[in-house]
Amino acid sequence: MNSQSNQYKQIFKTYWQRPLIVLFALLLLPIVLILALGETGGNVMQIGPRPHAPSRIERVYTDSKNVKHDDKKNIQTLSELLERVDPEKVTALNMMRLHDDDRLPDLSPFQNLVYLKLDSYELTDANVDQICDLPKLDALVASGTRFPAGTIQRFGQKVSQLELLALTLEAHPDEIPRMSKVKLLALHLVNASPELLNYVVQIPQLEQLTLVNSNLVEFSRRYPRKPQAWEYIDLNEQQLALLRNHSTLKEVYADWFYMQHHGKFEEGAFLPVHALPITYSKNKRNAIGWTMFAMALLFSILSIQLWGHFISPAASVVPHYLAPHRRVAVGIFSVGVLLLWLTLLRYDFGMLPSFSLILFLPTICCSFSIVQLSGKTYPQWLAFPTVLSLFLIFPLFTEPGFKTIASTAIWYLWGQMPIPALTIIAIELVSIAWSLTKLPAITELVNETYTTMPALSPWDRERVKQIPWKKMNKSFLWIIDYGTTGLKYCGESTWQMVHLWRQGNTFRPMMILMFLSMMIFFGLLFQGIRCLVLGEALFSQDLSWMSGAFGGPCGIAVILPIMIWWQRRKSLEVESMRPICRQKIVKQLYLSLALDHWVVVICIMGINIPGLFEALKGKTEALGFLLFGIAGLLWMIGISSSVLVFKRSWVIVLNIFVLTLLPFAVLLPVAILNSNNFPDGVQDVQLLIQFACMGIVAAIGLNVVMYRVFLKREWG
Amino acid sequence: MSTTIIQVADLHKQFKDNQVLTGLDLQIEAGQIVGLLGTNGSGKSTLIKCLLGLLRPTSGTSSVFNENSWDLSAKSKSRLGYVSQEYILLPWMTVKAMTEYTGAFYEHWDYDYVNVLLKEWNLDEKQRVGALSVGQRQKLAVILALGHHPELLILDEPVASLDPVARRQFLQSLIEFTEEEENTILFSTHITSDLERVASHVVFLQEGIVGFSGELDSLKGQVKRIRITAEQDLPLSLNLPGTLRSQVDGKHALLAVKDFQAEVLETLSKDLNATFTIEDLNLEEIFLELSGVSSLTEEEITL
Repeated sequence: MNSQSNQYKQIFKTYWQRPLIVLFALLLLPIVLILALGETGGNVMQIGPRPHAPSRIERVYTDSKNVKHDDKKNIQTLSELLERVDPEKVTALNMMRLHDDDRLPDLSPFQNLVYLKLDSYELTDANVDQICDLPKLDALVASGTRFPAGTIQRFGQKVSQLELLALTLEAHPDEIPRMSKVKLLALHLVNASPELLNYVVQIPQLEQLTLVNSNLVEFSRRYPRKPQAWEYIDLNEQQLALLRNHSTLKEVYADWFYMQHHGKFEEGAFLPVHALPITYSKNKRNAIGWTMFAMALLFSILSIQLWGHFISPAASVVPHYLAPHRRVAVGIFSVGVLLLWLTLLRYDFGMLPSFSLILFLPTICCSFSIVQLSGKTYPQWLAFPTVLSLFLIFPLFTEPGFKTIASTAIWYLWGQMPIPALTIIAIELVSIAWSLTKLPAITELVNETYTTMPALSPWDRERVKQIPWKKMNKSFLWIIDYGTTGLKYCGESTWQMVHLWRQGNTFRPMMILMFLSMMIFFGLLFQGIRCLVLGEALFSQDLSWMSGAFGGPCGIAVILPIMIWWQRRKSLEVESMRPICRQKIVKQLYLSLALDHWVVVICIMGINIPGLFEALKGKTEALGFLLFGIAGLLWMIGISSSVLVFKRSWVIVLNIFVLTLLPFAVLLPVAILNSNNFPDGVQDVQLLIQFACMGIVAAIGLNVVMYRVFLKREWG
Repeated sequence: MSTTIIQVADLHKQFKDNQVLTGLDLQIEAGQIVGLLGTNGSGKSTLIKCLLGLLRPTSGTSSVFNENSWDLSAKSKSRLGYVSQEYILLPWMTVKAMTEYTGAFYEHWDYDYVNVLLKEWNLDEKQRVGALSVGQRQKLAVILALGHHPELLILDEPVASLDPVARRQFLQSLIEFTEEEENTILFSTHITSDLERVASHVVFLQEGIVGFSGELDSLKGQVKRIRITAEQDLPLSLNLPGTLRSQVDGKHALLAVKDFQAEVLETLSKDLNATFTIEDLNLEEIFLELSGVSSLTEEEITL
C-alpha cells in the first residue's frame, strides 16, 4: 500500500517537474478563479431577432429647414448620398428626420433596397405605394405612429421581417390577419395594452415574435401612458395558450424578468413555442469561452504528461507502468471537470449542457489525435467530421456568431434539449475512454515509426523511425521537393540565403494560397448554383463571407511557419555551422521566418475587405487601416521569432502567450477611453492613428529586442 | 613549423549548478588526428560545442583558426566540418537533395567527391533522409561534413551507430582525408580500437579538465601495468609515483602507473626484493585505468 502511494507521489511529482506543465497550471488557475468569482449576469447583448440588413446601412438625414448644426459634418443628406453612391447599389437604408415636419423623400431610385428603416415620418399613401413598389424590399422598420389606413396590411404583404410600435399595430386590428408574408415581427411595447397578443396571433405565417421594452422617453412624453399599458411582460394562462397554440410560431423573445421574479416563468411553458430572452449576458457567453480555454490547458497538461510517459521505453518494459499513470491523469481530469462544471453551473446553464461543453474540446482533441496517429486510412478519415464539429462551437465565441445561433444555443444551454445533450455526453465519454485505451498502442506505434514527433520524453534517438517516410515517397511530396534539387551556390546575398534557408522547410506559403483559391473556387461554384436555382445575385454586396473565407487560411499562415521552424530548430545545431557568421545567420533566419508569414498579409486584407473598401473611401481611415496592419504584422513576427530566439519549450510557449495577450491588455483600456471620450467617433480615427504609430514603434522595439536576444542564442 | 588550429585556455562551462568544464587547457596543431576520450559526462560534447561556438563559455577562451569560437567568421566556418552526436538532418529531403541543399551554402562544394562517397557507402540518392536507418543517416552526416574538404573536421561520436564495415570505410576515409590534404581531425568516441587505428594524438578528459593530452604512442609508453611478486608479504602502500590503481594481495600486487619510469621501479625492486613484470596496455585498458575503473578480477591479479 505504501509503495503504491509512493508510486502515485512519484507520478504527481513528474507533473510539477516539467516547467511547461507548471506554466499551463499557472495559467489555468486565474481562469478557474475568473469563472468561480466572475459576474454571472449583466453586460447584455441584444439577441431577440429584428429585421436584418444584408450589408452596411446607409444613414440619411432629411433636413427640410437646412439648419446649420455643429455636428453637420457627420450628417449625410440624401443628395450627398446620391452624389457619392449609385442608388442601385444601396441595399440598406436608414432614413432619419431632423425636424418633425420632414417628409419622406423619394425612395424610388433605390431599386435594390432590401432593408429600410424609417424614423417616425408621417407616411402618406404615396409614400406607402413607393415603399411597397421597391422590388427587393424584405425587411422594414417603421417607427411612425400614424399610418394611412391599409398601410399595415400592405407592409405585412410586402416584407417578411417587420418592426413596428405595438401601438401602431393595435390601431389597425382589422388589417392584422392579412399580414400574410410576415414571419418575423418585432414590436416595441411602449404604451401597448395586454390585449396586443390577441392581435399578434392573428398573423398567419408568424414564426418569430420579439417584444421590445422600449424606453422611448420622447415618445412617452408626447403620448401619456395609458392606464392599462403593459408595464412588464406578465402573461396569464390564456395569453400563454394563445401563443402556444399558434400554428407557425416557433420563438417568442421578451424580457421575462417580471415573470421569473414571481416564479411564473418556466422555459418550457410555451412548448412547442420557445420562450427566449430578448437579451443575453455576455458574461455567460464569455464563461463558455473561458471554460473551453481552461479545458484546453487541462487537456494539454494531461496529454503532454501521458504522451511523455507512454512513449518512453519504460512503458513497454516496466510491468504495470501504464495503469497508474492513466489513473492519475483520469483523476486530475475528473477533478478539473468537476471544478469547472460547478463554476459553470453558476451561470444558470443546465447540468447536462454544461457537462457536454466541458468535455467537448478534450473529445475533439483526443479523437483527432488518435485517428490521425493510428496510421490507418479509414480511421484517418474520421478526422474530417471531427474537425468539422469544431465549427459547430465556433459561433459561440463571437457576438455575431452567437446571435446567429442564439435561439438554439440558449435553448440548449437552459437544458431544454436533454436528449441531444445526453447523446453528446455519451459520445464524448466513449471517445475519451476509447482514446485512453488506444493511447498505449498508438504511442508504441509512433515511437517505432515516426521521425518528427515531439520529444516530450527522453527519446531513444537510436531507434529507427522510417516507415512514414517510406510510405510518403510518392504522393504530395512533389510540391515540397520542387526547388530543392539541382541547387547550387548562388552567392552570399541576404535574399539568396534567405531563400535557401526557407527551401529547407516543408512549408510552402503558395500551398496556402492554393488552398485559399480552392475555397474561393468552391465558394463561387456553390454561389453559382444558388444563383441558377434561387435566382440570387452571383456577388452579394455583403462581403462578410470574405472574412470567413480568409480567416481559416490566415490562421494557418500564422501558425504553420511557427510550427515548421519549431521543427527546423532541431537541425539548426548542425546548420549553424554553415559558412555564415553569427550576425548574418541570425539576420537570415529572422528574415526567413518573417517572410514565411507573407500570406498573412493577403489573408488579413481578405478578412478586412469590407472594412478596407470603407477605409479606402477616406484617406485618414485608409492610413489608420494601413498603420494598424503594419503594427499587427510586425508584432506577429516578433511573437513568431520566439521559436528561434529561445531554446526551452516552456519559455517559447510563455513568450508567445504573453506577447499575444499584451496588445489586447494595452488596447482594451485605450478602446474604452476612446469610446468614453469620443462617443460620436469624430476624433476616433486620429487618436487611433496615433496609437497605431505607437504600436508600430512598440512592434519594432519588440523585434529589436528579440533580434538582440537571438544573437546570443546558443545552438548547441 | 606547426600551426595551432585549436587553442583553449582556462575554459569553464557551467549549466545552472552543474560545472562541466573546469578550467580546461588544450592545443591542437594542424595535421593531427586527435581522439577525445572521457567517461560519460566528462565534458567531451560540451568542449566540442564550445570550440564550435555552439555554446558560450562561462569563462576562459577558445579559438579555432585563431578566431574566437563564439564569433567564427564565414571563412573559418567554411574551413571546418562538423558531425554532431544527434546528426539531425532534414527528414523530408531525398539524399541527393540534402547533399545539394547543403552544397548550396558552400562556394567550393565538391559534388563529384560527394557522389563518390555516396556510392562507396551505398547510400541511395533517391531515398528520403527520414527513411534511412540510423547508420545510413550517420554516414550521410559524415559525407555532408566532408563535401567542402574542410581543413578541420570535428566529429562527436561519429561511429557509434555504424556497422563494422561502415566503420572501417569511415576510418579509411578519415585516413585519406588527412593523408592527402594534411587536415586536422578532432573526434570523440568510446570505441577505442578505432581511435587506436587512426589517431595520432589522444586527449583524455577527466572531470572537466584535460587529464592527458599527447601522442598516442607517448600515452601507451607512459601508462603501464606492473605485476609484482615478492618473497614476503607486500606492504599495502607501495608508494610508486604516478600510481593510478594499486591492488595488493599478500605477496602479489598489481599496479597501474602513469608517467612510468624504469629507474624508480628498479629501486623499488631492490627495496622489496621482488620481481616485476611490466605489461603494455591497449587504449581501452589505458582508458579504464585513467578513468579509475578496472575490469580485472582477483584471479587475474594473482596470475
